[in-house]
Amino acid sequence: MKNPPCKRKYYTVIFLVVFLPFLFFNAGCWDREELEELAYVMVIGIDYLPEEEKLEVTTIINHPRGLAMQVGGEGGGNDEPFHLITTQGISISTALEQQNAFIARRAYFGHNEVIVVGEKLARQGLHQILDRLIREREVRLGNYMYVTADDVKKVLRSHTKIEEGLAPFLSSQPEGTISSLAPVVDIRKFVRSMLDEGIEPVLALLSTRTEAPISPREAETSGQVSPEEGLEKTLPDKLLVPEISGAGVFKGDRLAGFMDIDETKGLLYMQGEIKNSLEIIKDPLGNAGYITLNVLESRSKIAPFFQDGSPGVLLEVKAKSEIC
Amino acid sequence: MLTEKIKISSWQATALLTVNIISTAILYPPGFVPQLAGRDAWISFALSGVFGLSIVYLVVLLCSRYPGLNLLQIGEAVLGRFLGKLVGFGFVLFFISTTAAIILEFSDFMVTAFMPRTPLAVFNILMILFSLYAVYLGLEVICRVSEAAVVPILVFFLFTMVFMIGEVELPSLLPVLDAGFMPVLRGSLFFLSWTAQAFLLGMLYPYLVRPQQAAKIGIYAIAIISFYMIAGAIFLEGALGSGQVARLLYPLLSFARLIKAGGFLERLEAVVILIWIFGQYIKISLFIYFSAFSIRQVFGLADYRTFLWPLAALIAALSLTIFGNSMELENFIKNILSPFVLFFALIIPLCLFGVTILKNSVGKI
Amino acid sequence: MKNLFSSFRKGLRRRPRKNTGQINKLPQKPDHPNYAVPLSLAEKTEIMGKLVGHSNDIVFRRFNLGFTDIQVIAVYAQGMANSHAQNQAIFKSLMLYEEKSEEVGGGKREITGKSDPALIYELVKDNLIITGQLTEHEDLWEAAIDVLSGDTVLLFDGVNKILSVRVRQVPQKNIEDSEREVSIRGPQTGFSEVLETKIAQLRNKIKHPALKIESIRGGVYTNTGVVMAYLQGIVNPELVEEARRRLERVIHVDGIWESGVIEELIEDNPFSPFPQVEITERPDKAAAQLISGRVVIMMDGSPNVLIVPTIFWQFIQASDDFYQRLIGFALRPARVIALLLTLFLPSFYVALTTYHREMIPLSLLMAISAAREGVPFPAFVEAFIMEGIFEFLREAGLRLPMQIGQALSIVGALVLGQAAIQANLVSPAMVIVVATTAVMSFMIPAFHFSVSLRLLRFVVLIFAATLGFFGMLLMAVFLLTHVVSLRSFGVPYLSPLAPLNLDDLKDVLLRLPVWSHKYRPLILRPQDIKRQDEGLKPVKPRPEK
Repeated sequence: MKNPPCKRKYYTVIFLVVFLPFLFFNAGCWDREELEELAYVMVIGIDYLPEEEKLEVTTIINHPRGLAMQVGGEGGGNDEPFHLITTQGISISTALEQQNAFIARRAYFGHNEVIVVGEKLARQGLHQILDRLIREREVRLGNYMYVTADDVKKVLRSHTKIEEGLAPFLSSQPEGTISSLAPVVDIRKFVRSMLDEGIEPVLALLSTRTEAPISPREAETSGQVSPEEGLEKTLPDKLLVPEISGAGVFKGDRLAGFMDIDETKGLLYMQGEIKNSLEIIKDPLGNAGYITLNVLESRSKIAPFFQDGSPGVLLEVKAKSEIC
Repeated sequence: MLTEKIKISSWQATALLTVNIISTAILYPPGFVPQLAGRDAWISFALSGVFGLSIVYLVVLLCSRYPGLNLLQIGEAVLGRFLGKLVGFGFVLFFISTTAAIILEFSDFMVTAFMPRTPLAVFNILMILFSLYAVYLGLEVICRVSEAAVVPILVFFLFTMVFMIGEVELPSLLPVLDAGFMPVLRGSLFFLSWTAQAFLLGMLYPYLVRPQQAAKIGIYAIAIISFYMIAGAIFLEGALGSGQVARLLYPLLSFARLIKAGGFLERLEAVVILIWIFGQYIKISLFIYFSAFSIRQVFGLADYRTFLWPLAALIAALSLTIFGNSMELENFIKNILSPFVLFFALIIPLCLFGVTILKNSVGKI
Repeated sequence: MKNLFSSFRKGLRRRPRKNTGQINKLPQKPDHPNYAVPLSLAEKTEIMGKLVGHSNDIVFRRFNLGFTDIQVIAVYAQGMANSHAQNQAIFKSLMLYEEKSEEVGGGKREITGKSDPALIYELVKDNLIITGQLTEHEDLWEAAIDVLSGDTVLLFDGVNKILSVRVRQVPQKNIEDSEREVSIRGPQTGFSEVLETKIAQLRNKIKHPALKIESIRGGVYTNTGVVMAYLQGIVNPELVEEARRRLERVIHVDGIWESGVIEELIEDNPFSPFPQVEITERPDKAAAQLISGRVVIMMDGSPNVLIVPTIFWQFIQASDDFYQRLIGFALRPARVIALLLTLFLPSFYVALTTYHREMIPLSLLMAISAAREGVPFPAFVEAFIMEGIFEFLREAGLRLPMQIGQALSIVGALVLGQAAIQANLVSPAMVIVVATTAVMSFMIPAFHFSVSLRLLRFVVLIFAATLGFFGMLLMAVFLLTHVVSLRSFGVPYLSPLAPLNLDDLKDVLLRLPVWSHKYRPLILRPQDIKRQDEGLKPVKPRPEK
């Protein structure tokens, strides 16, 4: 029997419904990347090399398997939880492209949390690299920024004893105690104070400090010495530890100078951003000795005035604190 | 019969208009208006809300004089057959080209912000195909989809803002009107091309169950949109600063990327986009529907469904070729969109209204 | 110019829709001729024999009425009649009839060989057959159907009427607890398979004259009893008319074995993946829906009854929602979430890990990707295989006897869960996702609804794997558009959400207390809108002063 025309139409529809998805599926998946095809960049460090007129980019890349083994307790120290890769290029993009020579995976910045800027670059001006970072699809405005007077590579190599690597120290600090030591600034805040009138950006200053390891085992886990080499042979007598040591002050996008811890604290009081800080005052009753106050919250009021032909500012800080 | 038996409740019409306007309004205006108006962007949004209300008023006034007729039919009734068809043809071109622009706007956003390696055409064609299903099912179904989608869309945008409320510094809104009134006015004229889309009420008017509530529908829709845009502008200004907002292509996206709620919900931008695509889908369906509908009206055809496939192919081709690159699209939105929309949303209804008044007064004499 | 337009117009003119008036094309009456009852007994017997088909199990029992020579033929199907009842009601009283002079209506009624046949017939009908279930037929076809259903038909000479005595013994189970719709607090019994018992069960719930039962016979060869029940005065009359009209299709189908056959014949959109008719085996649920203004359709031989019109939300409602205080309030939103997760969780996971990993918190991402190291398949293939295997397992377990089913679940859990992970074929996260999806799909009370969700899940999965969240959302909007466009007996499927009806929403996403439901569901346009009086809300008693 010959098929009536309407039936033939149904066959066409069935054909399309069945086979079009296959076509679609074959051609599709342009942006698909499996988790194991990526290298998770945790920290980006950028500095300027004046002799070569190039940017030097250092990234800390997390290694999931190494991390899992450390957490799981099996495997041992063969797989380090993170890698450092340093490359050079005229722009960040070219420098990052160079990194492909070292890892088979695509560098993925979606979980990058920290950007460390070297002093030489900061004095040159951050405008261009900020422009590049904002345009980058994966980097967020919420990335914390730090400036360092040290060698960026050295800073990125340092890590604390408690956390795994530098990234957790720098990215979980802001919610913790750092707020009383240095300004917490992310890209959004930096760009904002760079662009808005009447306010200039400040970044927390990062430096390193050497510390003697407590035990040989610790040096091993810290990843600075591999166990094959043997603990006795090349035991480092010093451990590199990161430290927050003040703030870098910018004018526009250029670094103007540094402040030490006490100056930074004064600045934070002015901005009313102190949330957790210990202050020692003399006994107001005139007795001998000191009282330690834990400042829980502070609020500031800035009143500009004009006196004898020169401007001045009256700063009033109200702080809520507990005696400890 | 040219008119179908479509019934749209007032709530559906409100939902439709709101989703329709807000789904594209959150894309470019939050960045473009601060470019023009600086930190007073929120005043611009408020002002264009007021302008939008006047357009609603005009359209409702016009439509209430011709009950049962939509804007195109009123054009024919007022201007006569030839001129009316000409105006109708203008509307056909308007709807088709706007549809193409909206689709490109959408897929351009998806490619630049999310999936750089996926070809633009994939987004265009898929979106058109899926919208076509809604168009095929008719206006009533589009209304119901928007009705179901409006609450999640609005609530979710509200959530996005609530999560960021701690980062907002209101003093950065001061001083108000620092640079004078002109930048604000220019900003509001730019955003008027969105609020003016409330003139679509004139197309929905004959199907409303309660036409006497038409003005209310427009007012509510514009009030909701203005509320969101003003709040969004204030939040963006307070959290990012107008300098930064003006430099970001999609500030609301960057804003959503900052969300950190309780260490569990982080970086919700994909979900925000998800919800927003919902709105885009409704908008594209509605505009394809109106394209088909106005073609049917102008050429006096029986059913708009018969030529949906060729129309879809036309729109798909147009959306791929109408702009060469993102910059052309941006340029179109910045400079041309506003007069283009205003011509159809404001000038034509105004002319129709004027001619109606004239005719009436001549008739009386 | 005008010609050009008109030809263009003609070319585009809408073709007539094919399926309009489809119901009118059906023959209005079943295609059997009307068999009028002839007067003579021999003719009757002959036609009857032809109609019932001369089968071996059909008995034509010829006997004499009392001790006269009046011949009566009883026709019945062997084994289908309750022989005790048959003997008591028919044979004993007719065969052993002794002539007594009785004063009836002032005159003597005697039966002799010379009595008027009509008189004999009337006497037998009125006095001798000792049962209440007696039907008179004027069509031999109807009588033949009765014989085939197990009744005993009596043929008399000289009358063009036939008596049919209902003595059928239906193979019947006892009324059992409803197993597929379990309720903690509600009534436990489920519907019987026998139509009459079902009607009785329904009547037992609603003892009110408004309950109307309309019956038809469906299936050309099965002649199954199909019944439509509704509450007159409450239900929208147009709805009843529509249901009646659609049920006519049931008459023409060749056989009805389950309510599913009826369901497929009366639904609005036959190609939709979503069920548009609710089925239940709980009399309390059916009765509650009747009172809400719906129509219940029952058939002989199946415990499942159909409820129309149906809206989307009915599938996430369980009977317990209405019987316990907080469950209905709290569980409805939970079920909506379960519904969404059933549909989207695997695709969400795949889209998240292969496209939008920025949304996963770092520690979780590290855990997942560490577990994925070494898994040979892409996440999508992994998900597809695992979901597929789960579906096969479930289906295999469903058809197996209980004892083997347990062995199957052990094989499934151990071999596929444990061993697959240890062999690093599947990542543990994927197993968790699949298991969660399975649990979520079991949270939906309506089985046939969750089946369609589970099937759609695979389609969504393909889209999510190809285009990430965008693909997922495309499917979501497609499904939403589809659901929104559906109607069940004219009632929009997603109402009262879209189109919005605030009063009806009280019983959708949440269930508010009984006293707050002042109206019946307005989307059904019931004739009697008001459900109950106001002021039923309990008032906290206050101590008198």
